[in-house]
Formats: sequence, C-alpha cells, structure tokens
Amino acid sequence: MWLATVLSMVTSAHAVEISWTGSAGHAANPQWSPDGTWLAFEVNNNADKVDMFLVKINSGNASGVPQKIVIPGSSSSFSSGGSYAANPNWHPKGPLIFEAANAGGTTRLYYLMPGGSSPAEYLSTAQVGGGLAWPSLSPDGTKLVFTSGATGLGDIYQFAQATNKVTPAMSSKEPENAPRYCSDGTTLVFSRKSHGTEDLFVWRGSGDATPLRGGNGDQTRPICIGDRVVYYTNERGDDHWDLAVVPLAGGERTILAKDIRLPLRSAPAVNPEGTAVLYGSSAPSTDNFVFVTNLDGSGTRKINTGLTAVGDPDMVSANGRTWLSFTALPASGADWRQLHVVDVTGQ
Amino acid sequence: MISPRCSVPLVSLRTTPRRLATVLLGMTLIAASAWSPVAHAGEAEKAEHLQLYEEMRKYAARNAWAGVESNYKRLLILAEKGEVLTYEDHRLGAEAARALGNMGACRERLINAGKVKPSDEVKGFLADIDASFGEVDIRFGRTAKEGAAAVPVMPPFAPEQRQAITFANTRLSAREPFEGLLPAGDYAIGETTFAVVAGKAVEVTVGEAAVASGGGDFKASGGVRVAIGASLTSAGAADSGPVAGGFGGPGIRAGVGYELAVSPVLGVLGQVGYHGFTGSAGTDGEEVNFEQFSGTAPTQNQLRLGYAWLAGTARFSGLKVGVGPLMGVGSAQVTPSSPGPGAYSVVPLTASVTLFGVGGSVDYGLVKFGSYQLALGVEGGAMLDAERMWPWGELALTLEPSFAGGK
Repeated sequence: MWLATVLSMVTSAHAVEISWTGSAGHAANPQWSPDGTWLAFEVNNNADKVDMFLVKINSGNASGVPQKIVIPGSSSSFSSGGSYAANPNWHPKGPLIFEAANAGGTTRLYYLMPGGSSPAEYLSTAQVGGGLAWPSLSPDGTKLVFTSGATGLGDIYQFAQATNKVTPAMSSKEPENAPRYCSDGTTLVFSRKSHGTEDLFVWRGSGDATPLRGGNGDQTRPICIGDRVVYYTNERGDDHWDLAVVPLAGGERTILAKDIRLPLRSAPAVNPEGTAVLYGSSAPSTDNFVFVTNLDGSGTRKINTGLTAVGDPDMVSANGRTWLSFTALPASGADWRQLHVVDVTGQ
Repeated sequence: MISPRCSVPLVSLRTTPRRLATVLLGMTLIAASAWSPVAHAGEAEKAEHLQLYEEMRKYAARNAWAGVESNYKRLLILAEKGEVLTYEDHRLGAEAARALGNMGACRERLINAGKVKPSDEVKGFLADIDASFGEVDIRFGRTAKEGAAAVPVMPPFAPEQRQAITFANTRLSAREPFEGLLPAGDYAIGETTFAVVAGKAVEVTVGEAAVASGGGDFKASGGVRVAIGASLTSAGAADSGPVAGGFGGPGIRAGVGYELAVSPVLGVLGQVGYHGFTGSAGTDGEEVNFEQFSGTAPTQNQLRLGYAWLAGTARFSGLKVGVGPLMGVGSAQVTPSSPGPGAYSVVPLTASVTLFGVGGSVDYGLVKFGSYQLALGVEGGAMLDAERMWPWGELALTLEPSFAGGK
C-alpha cells in the first residue's frame, strides 16, 4: 500500500468555507491568481450548466460575495441555463483566460481582468475558428496554447503576443487535449486520443510530436515541472486514478500516488516551490486529507481538513503566507461540494 | 478613477484650434437642441426598441459584434425620437465598441450606461480603460505621402487593446487621421515614434516626426514663419559726432520668413520684417523742456527700420533656438533734450541708418496646428552703426513649423 511509504507528519487545519449565491452545484477547479489575491472556481450542477465565479481573498476570507462571470450575450437578468464557463488560467500579470460558451453556442476563449471590465472574447473567429478549449499560458505569459476544432480534428494552436497571430503547432488525425508549456515556453506536453485511450506526447517547437508515455488506460492532463512531467493515469483500470511522473526527456514513469480523487478538469496541482504535487484521495478512509507528495518521492505530508471527499487542491504563496484551496463535502451525503480556503503556512 | 456619472473627458484636453472648433460646434448643437421641440416615443418606437435589444443579445451571444453595433446605432436613432435607452442597451453598445476596437465609443457608452444606472460593473470597466488607454490625435504631415499602420513596440495581451490598435490602423493605413484611444505603450508609424501614456493625450503628426525619431532617412522640409511681438529698443549714446545722447522706446517688431529643417535637429531661417519704436522726445533719459527752449512743436523719437535676419536654428524637445546675423535699414528721428552750446532752440534730428548686428530667439511651442506650432518666444539682439549700438528685446508670438510630430 502506497500510504505505507508515507513519511509524513499529519497536520490539521481549519478551513474557511467560501459561499456563493445564485448557482446550485458542485464547487470545482479552484485556481489561485499568482499573487494570491483572487480565486476563480467553477460551479457545476451536473445537469445543464457550468458557471464560473471569481472571489477576492483577503487573509483567507472572501472579500465580498463571489461574483459570477457572465460572458457577453448572457445576462444575469435572463436564464443562463446551458451556459458554460470553465477552465480558468491565470496570466502571470493578472488577467484570467478561460473557456466559455452561451447556451447552444460554440466554446471560445475569454479574457477577464479581475475588478475591471466584463469578459471579452480573446481570439476572434477571424483569427481562429471552431470550438476552442484547454487554454494554457506560457510561463512568461506571452504565448497561449489551446485546442481548436476548426478542422474537426482537435488540433493544438498557439497565439503569440509578439506577433498577434495564431498558428497551428502541429496537426494529426487524432484529437489532442490539455496542452501545457514547459519552462522554456516552447516545448509542449499534451495528450492525444488514440485507439480509445489517451497517450502523452511532447512537441519541441517544430516538426512532429514525439510519444512520451503510453500504455494501458489513459495518460492525461500532463504538466511540466522542471525536467519532469506529472500526469494522471488509470493504467490500473477505470476506477483507479494514479498520479505519475516521467522525465521530459523520456524514460520510465514513477507512480507518486495511487487512488487519488481525479479533479474534474484541472492538471495536477503543484506547490508554490514546484517541488511537490497536491491531491486528494478517493479512499473513504483518507478522503479528509490533502496530500502533498514530493516529486522525488522522498515523502508525503498530509493536511487534515476535517471534511469529506476532499479534492481539487491548489496552493499559492502570498505575503509570506501559504494558502490552500480545495473542494469538499461538509459531510457524507451532502448535496454539493463546497469551496474552502485554509492557511497552511509552515505545514 | 472617473465616475461613470461624470461626463468629463478622459484627460484634460490641450486646447488646440481643432479641439476648440469641436467644442464650439458641440456648444452650438447643444444650444440648438435647447430650442428643439421635445420628442416623445410612441408604441412603435418602444416595440422596435425591444426588438432591437433582443437581436443585440442574440448577436452578442454569438460574438457577432458588428450586428450589435449596427443595432445600437439604430437605438440611438430611436433615442432621438424620444425613446429612452436602458443600461443594458448602452452596456451592450459598449461591449460592441470594445470588441470592434473603438474604445473611445466604448468609454462614451459606458458613461451613458452609468448615467442610467450607476454600477460597479461600469465603474470597473471605466477604470480599466482609463488605466490602460491614452488619447491620441494622429495626423499625417505633408511629407507622409502614404498611410501607414501604428506598430506597437510590444503588442498588448488584452484583446480589446489589440483590437484598438487594429481599429486605429484601418484609418491610418488609408492615410486618414485618427482621434481616439490607444493602449499605453510605445509605437512607431514609419519613422515617427511616439508614446501613449494611460490617461493622457498625445498629438502626433506622421512624417514630421522624423525629427523626433532621429531616423536616418531624414528628408529636408520647410515652412513659413510669421512672428509679431512687442519690443523695447534702445539707441545707445553716440560715441562721437554732433548727435549725442541715447534714446529709445517701446515698439512693434514683426516679420515673415521661411524655415528649412536640414537635419532632425538643425535648420536655417531667413526672415524679413519691420522693427520700429516711438519714444518721448529727449535724450539720455531727459525730456525736452519746451518752455525753456524754443523750437519746433513737440515731437517724438522714432525708429522705422526694415530688417533681414538669417539664422541657424536648433530644436530641443519643445524649444527652438535661433541665432544669426541681422541687418536693418531705415530712418531714425531724435529730439535732443537740450540744444547744443549757444543754441536757443531744439529741433528734431533725422537720419538714415544702416545697422548690422546679431539677433537670436528662443521659442517654446504652445499648441500645434498640423505641422505648425504657435510658440511664445523671447527674441533679442544688438545692431551697430558708425555711431552707436542699438540693443533690443522682444516678446513674440510665432507661428512656425513644428518639425516635431511625436513629442
């Protein structure tokens, strides 16, 4: 049992629940702004819509009521059933990029400056057509990678701020998903659907992508951390999601954690130092913890939240404090997952 | 941050004739509207309003902003008939203008939305614009024969900022002037470089700005210079001869010339004009005592001079400095304060004068008119003839080529 190898101490933390109004559903995919000032999260009613909210966080507490992000054409005074706003990605200088669609519309990428103007479509259909998804920014924020269904094949495209142009990264007959930049701002890791499962690939700025990791089941939502790639895999079967790491240059994969609670949409979360990954457990006996496992396998810390079915963790350091956000059920059998924030400085 | 209920402009506009004319036109229209009969919208207008708004929402949901813009303009026509536009009308209009890159219109519509219903949404939107955009007035100078796009040194990330540049470039590429908002940052239009500062205004004359940019492909260009001012002139005491005593007085100095920029910084100027003064009769600061001395009727000291000035000029930021040789030809009249020894009467003495000397000027540009500027300047110099020195100083207003489009 992998938990037997845990070297950690267990800490307990009291989390603050962030409440919102106007949308009933599961809180999901909370993402901190780089300065720890804002928290974007989704609310999914598992039926006909996914909303996105934005809340300002001050010393671990919500500074006001979370504001629902309304894209143009949607209005809070009209029903927004069927609308979709998800996958928040923070630019290092403050703006938020996310994917969204009005009811029955095409998913496009949107831009929002928190506290400023309302969302605006980020790339026009003249620049790139089709449904756009999986936005992700380069570390310096000057490039944006995403997928487009313009050709019907789900290809990866890049937008470069310097040229104000969108260009295809590469094309294949299989759909690509979840592209992410590595630290050089050029290399991309992503998953590609092939023969019913997803495999990992690397694209190094030109030419064709090269396989990074295949095997049983899906290998998905990779994220570059230094010279390593962390990803989710269900190679042990559909009901068992594990967290694995593989060298960016290729090689054997190492399982970091087994039976994790697979986040709805996000890539693996990383601590602010970039040395460990965060996750929740799908095992009922340990689903009250947020686990922090070192990438080199040297140990795992556990943060006891006192809640149930903990998942979707994200962490940020701001003003000398370290803040953890996650979603959880307040008790077994509760209707909706709630959003929580806790100070884990020193833990 | 500017309140959405406030209709003040984004920045305090520098008063240029172009803007003054706009303000006067606006005031005239406002005054005219005050006498217009009040319009009242009927049921037909209300129904059309509702239809247009619903269409706008549908267009917006598809990011079809040209359709939203078109409908908003039709709403404005309804508003002229008395139909009252709503917050949502103006907000959608603002979003359409933003998506199309017309940030000036976007800001104006947001202010109108704020007048209908003050909201944090509008305040945040306006604050975002004011913190990111600056006002520009871009024109093409005579040397700019073709249109050219404004190229940002670092293209912005935000979509409305990128679109605002595209919007401006549709005009500039066709060599049409553009007045509106551009994202803060450094730009180049051909050889002309300029900076846009958030919340501030900048005027740019494309082509003339080769001076400012210091580009290597400089082409000489010139323009007429007209100067007029109030002067003080002194004729110093004669070194020798029968006419002793100094005299002088206030007068007018005016000239017209041509200035040629021969490099991004340097130029040459040729100017001719009139230089004169009128002063009280007398010399060396003493007035004539006509009760003590008999003579002609009291008269005044005078100088009537035509001058020619050739100067080299140099431009430094908003200052233009010129210096060079000066020649004057004309006549002078002076009535001594006392007759000479043994004489019992004073009479005015007149003489033709030919003067040579040096003149200089320092002008500070106040406002620009295309490739010209109105400048306030200080001029001065000194001329000599065989008997005396003629120093003078002048406070002048000058209309002259600015040779600087991008400051």
